[in-house]
Amino acid sequence: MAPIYGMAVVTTFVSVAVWYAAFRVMAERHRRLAWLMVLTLPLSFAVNAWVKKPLLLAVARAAGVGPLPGAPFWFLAFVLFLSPVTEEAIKVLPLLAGRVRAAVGERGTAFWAGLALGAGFGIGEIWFVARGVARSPELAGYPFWAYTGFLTERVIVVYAHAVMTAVLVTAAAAGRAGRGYLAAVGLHALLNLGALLGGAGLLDRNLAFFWIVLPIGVLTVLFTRMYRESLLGSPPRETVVFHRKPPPAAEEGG
Amino acid sequence: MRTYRAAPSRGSLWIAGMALLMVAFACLGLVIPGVPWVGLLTAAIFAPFALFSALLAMWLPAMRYELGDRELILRCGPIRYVIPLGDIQKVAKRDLALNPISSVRGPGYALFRVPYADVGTVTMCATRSLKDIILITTGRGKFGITPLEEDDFLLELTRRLEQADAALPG
Repeated sequence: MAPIYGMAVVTTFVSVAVWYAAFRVMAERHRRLAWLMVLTLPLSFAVNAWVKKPLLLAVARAAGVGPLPGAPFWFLAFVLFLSPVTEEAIKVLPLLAGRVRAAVGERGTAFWAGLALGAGFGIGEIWFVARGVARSPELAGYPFWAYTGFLTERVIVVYAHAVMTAVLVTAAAAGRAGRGYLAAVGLHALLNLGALLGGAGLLDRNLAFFWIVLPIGVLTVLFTRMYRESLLGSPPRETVVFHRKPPPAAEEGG
Repeated sequence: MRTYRAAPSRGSLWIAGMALLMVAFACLGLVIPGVPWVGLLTAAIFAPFALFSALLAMWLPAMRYELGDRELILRCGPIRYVIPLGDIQKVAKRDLALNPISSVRGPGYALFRVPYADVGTVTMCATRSLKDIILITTGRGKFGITPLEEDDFLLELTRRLEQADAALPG
C-alpha cells in the first residue's frame, strides 16, 4: 500500500475529530446534523470521476489544448470554474431528499447542515486526492511522514468546503438559493485561483502557496458571521442574580 | 474581605501539555539538520510561548476571587482585575457561545480578554470557558468567573451589592 494512504488515515482522523469537537462544543441543539457528513463522503469520487474528468478531457481535446502552462485564457477560466460549479452543486445534492430537506428548516439549522455536508465532501476528497498521489510516479515514492503538507492542506480544505456549503445552504434557507450558489462558486474559485496560477506558470509557486491565506481569511469572517446569526434563533438560558436599576433620570430644566 | 477559590479544572494539564509540545517544537528547531537560522528562529518563536504556557499552568490552580465591601478582585498569579462593586450593573449565570477566533481559552481555563460569539469580548478569569459562567456586567466591560462555592459567592456578592445600593443617598 502506498505510504500516502497512512497519512490519509491520519488526515481523516484529524478532520473528523475537529468537526466532532465543533459540533459538540458549538452546536448544542444541532449535534444530530453531524451525521449529514456521511451522505456527502462518496460525492467527491463521483463528481471527479464522472463529471469533471470527462468534461475536462472533452473540452481540452475539442480545443486542442495541452497542459496548463501555455494554455489560452479561456481554458484557464474554464479550469478555474469547473470544480466550483460542479462541486458546489453536488455537495447540496442530499437536500433533494425530502427527509434531509425537512431537517434543514430555519437558518441556524441550515448553517450547521451546510457545514456537515461540506465537511463530509472534503473528508471524502482526502481519499480521492490520496489516490491521485499514490498513482503519481513523481509523488508516490516518499515515506509516510513526508506527507505532513498533505495533512495540513487537506484539513484546511475540509474547513473551506464546509464553510462554502454553509454559505449556500444558509442562503437557500433564506430563499436566496441562486445568490448563495453564486457566492459559494465565487469563494471556491478564489480558493483555487492561487494553485491554478501557480500551475499555469503565471504566479511564483511560493506566492501561490501563500495565496490560501486570503480565501481562508474571507471564509473565516463569513463563518463567524453565519455562526453569530445562527445563535440569534436560540436565546441563552440565563439566570439573572442581580440587576441594578438604572439611576433615575436627571430632572429637566435645572 | 472573603476569598473564594475558582472551581477545580484540568486546565493546568492542558496548558502544561501545550507547553511540552512547544518545548518539543523549539528543540526540534535546534536539532533538525538544515539551514541553521531556520532552526534558531523556530526555537526563538516557540520558547517564549512554552515559558508563558508553563507559567499559566502553575498560576491556574491558585486562581481566586476576593470579595470586599467595596470591590471584587479576580486573581490568577500576577494577573489582577479590580471590579468596584458600584460599577456592577448585572450578575448572571449563563453559558457562553464559542467564538472560533482563538485567545487564551481552552478546556478548563479562560484568561484575559476572550471574544465570544454571543456576548462579545469578556475579560475572563475562570476555570471553565463556556459552561455555567458567572457573567458580571460593569460599565467598563464584562467579566467571567467560575467560583467553587458558587451559591455562597453569589449570595454574598448580592448581599454586598444591595448593601452598597442601600447606602446610596436618596
